[in-house]
Amino acid sequence: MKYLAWMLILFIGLSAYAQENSVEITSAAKDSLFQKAAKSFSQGRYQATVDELNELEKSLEKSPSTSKAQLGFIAYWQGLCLNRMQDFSESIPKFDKALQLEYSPIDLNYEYGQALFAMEKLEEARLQFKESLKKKFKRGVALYYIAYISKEMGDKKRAITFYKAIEKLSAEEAKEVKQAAEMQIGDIYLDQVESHPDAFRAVETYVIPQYEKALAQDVNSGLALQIKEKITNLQRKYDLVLFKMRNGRPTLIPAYFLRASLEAGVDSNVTFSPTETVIAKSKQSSPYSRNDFMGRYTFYYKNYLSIAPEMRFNYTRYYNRVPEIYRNDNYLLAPAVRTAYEHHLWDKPASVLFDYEYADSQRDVDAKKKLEFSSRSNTLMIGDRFNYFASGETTVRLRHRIFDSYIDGNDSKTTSFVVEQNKALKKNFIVFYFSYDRLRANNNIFDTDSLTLRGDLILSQFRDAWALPSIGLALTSTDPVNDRSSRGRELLINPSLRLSRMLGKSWRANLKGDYQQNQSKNKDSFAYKKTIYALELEYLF
Amino acid sequence: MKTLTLMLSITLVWSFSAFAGKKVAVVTMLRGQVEILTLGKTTALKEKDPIEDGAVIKTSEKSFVKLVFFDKSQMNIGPNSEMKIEKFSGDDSGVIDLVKGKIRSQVTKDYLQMGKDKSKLFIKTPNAVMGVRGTDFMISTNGINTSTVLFEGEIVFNKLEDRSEINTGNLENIVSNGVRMQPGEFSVMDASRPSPTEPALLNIKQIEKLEKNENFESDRNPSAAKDDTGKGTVVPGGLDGKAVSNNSETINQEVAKVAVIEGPKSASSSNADGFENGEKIKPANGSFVHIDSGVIIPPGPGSVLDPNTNTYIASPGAGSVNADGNYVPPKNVEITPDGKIFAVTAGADGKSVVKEIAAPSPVLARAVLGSPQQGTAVFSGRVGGPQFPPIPDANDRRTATGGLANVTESRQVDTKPTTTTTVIVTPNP
Repeated sequence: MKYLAWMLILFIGLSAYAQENSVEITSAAKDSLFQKAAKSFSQGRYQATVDELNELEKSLEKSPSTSKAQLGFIAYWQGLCLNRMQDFSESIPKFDKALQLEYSPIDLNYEYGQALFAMEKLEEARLQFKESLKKKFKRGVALYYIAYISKEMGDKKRAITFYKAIEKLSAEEAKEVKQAAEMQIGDIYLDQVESHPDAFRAVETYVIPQYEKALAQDVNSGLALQIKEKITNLQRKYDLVLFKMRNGRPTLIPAYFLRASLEAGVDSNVTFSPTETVIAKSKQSSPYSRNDFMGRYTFYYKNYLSIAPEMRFNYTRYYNRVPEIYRNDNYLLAPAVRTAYEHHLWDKPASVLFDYEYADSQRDVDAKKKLEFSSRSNTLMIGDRFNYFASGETTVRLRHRIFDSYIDGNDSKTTSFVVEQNKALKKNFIVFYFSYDRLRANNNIFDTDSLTLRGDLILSQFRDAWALPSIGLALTSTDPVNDRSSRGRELLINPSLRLSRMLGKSWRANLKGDYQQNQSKNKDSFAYKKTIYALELEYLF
Repeated sequence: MKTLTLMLSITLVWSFSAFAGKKVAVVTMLRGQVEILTLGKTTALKEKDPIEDGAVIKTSEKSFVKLVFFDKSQMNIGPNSEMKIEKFSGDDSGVIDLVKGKIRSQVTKDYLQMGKDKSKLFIKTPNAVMGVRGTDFMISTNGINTSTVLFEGEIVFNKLEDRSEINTGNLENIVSNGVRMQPGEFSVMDASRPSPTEPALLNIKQIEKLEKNENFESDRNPSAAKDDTGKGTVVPGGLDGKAVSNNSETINQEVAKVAVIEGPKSASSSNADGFENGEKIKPANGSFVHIDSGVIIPPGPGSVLDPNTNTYIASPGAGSVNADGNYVPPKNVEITPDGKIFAVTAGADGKSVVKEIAAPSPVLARAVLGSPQQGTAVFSGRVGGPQFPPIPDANDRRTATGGLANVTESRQVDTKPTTTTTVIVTPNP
């Protein structure tokens, strides 16, 4: 009896305990807790969401009516929040639990795989991404992960297989990873060929074309920069492209230079072409336009010689259509070849320069509204560009020009000595130019000796301002050797101002102002003043 | 019982102030050493002390004081702070001057019953002013720059040229031309810039932890803070965080079966990427803020976009936050309260040296403010400028044991000028 009584007490006690631990959570309480967690989740309060779901999970675990799916859902949700907080060591058991509870929404394996990947559990991560692939969730990225992990684990063959599988996906599925996959294939090719003694051939034949294939996917992407750098580094490493001359001067990349421009302006006193030896002023102003095109390509022979053919064309038209003005309409065609031989001078880079220029000008010389031969010239220059001063390069040239005018008396030969000096200041930059020109014409009366001094200050300190300003001043003193009595020593004063602003990557706008005053004893024919204002729009290819 | 005592104290103080006048708040909690300067006299502050209009309150290191104002607004003043109550009269908006340090405040919604678009309280710092339109926020200044984080309600924030300005009409004009912040967002007023950064959503971990840290626990007791940096990234080489992010569609569908999901975040932070547009700078959503200095740390390359919050989840190289929401840089980097950044780098002889990272150029800032993917190219050194260097003597940052504390060499400071102290720095790529 006593034994029975003890059994009864124990039974009652156990029943009470069991009842206490199987409290059914009410539907309203459950809904409220889910709502609270959903609110925290949508606000991005992931830790709060995890904590609230923990509470809910405890209540649901006590309830006998709780389904495996409910608990699986909570584990999945928590895992996702923990992934967002990068608490991967915490999220992995949650995803694992969800899978054990047979709760597996479409993105679970993907999220689980990411957590395992971050924790460097690569083999397990690869399995999860394969599952994600089967579920067709983010197939492109899943394939990429599988390939990437395979490569990390040393299985390059499998890596290439999976990277290439991305190519077979639809454009939509592959778009986020295709370029990166092509780049990774290039990396694997490089790994394979680099140790080979003939590596440069394989790099040129397989690796660089593979990187170029990757680049072609999207040349403007962030990754494109990395790919370009990889290509450049390989070209440098294997001497596939010449980057530096033997004295260390960089080569031009790209080797071409193309520029087109359109200038519109007003000239307050239109004079004859400056190629003439006689200045005739119209004393009238005119709007004008000028189209200019210039192109150059530099070829390199080994690492010491460069040859750069150049072509320039410009056409100028004046819009004040009176004969004194429109006779100045002209075009100029000027091909040239510039060569540079690289060497050292005072242990610093230097270049011997040898240039040939040809210029052919047509002008409405007779004011017939028809462009006719005006002049042509052949110019040879020899010089050297060297570094004597620490602050900038110096260029010294000897120049000889043979000028053939439509008026025989104006034919001339000019010999010049030119010095240019660049000087970098703390923030700005100056270019000095000096020349002595000795002109001897068929008609001796036009013989001149002149000295020119010019300085241009580029105010680089305003590089980030709205526009980059530069100011210049040129002074030219001309001695009319055989006509001193009528002209005297002439002085041309020419200050100028220019504001440049880049418009996007290739366009540049220049606002230019230029004043010229030529002082001469012969006020009728040689003294003049003029101002030119112009807006130039350039396109740099 | 505690609540009853508190309420009784507040009532007694207000009763007293009705006779003495200008009593505006009462101390309800105090830790460490806190002084009050009133009528030219400095005294130690104690719990339940009344605070007068015009009082200057100074907290020492590891100290903290909580004030409750007559409208039941709360103001928690953090360690090493100095604050002056310039005006809190009851018939106009209040004006507080935060000279240095930080304030966490919860302003009651019904204070003065003012219009929705009118500030209820102005908090000035040496270079900024904030108009508070309710309710829960934090503001911090190192005496040069100011950073602010909003947890609830709305604030307007702008540069302040004349710190002596006390006219609330003028202050209202200034803030109404500034940036308008929504909950979860931060903004920094860099002394060298013409305007504060556009509001951006703060890193999700930092905002959640800062919100809980009402009493500046870790500032007073740094050992309690847990550094949880050093985890791996989910972004494999070659991809960016946007490519690998899960669009949350599935989880939202699953959650929708059991609860109603709220709408998206505010429009002002709708562009997750950072940008620079004229004088406007917006950091990327998910950036960290070094609260003491105002240094902004972008989520960095390798960060993943969380579509649910429209923020980037920072990459491990960008650092992390401690248990109380303060930013913790990577182990080889230290940011000082005045905004200087020091990093351990490998010297020519192989030994570790500490170098100051120069403030970034405008070019770098521009690039940094782009999307994390754009940043990738910049951070890898093509453009140049400062970045968190890799931890020396360690191929894997996750296993690195080196840190500033282990370096014995004297600091070598770059000679480049570091005029901009509030900077957007680049995380370790």
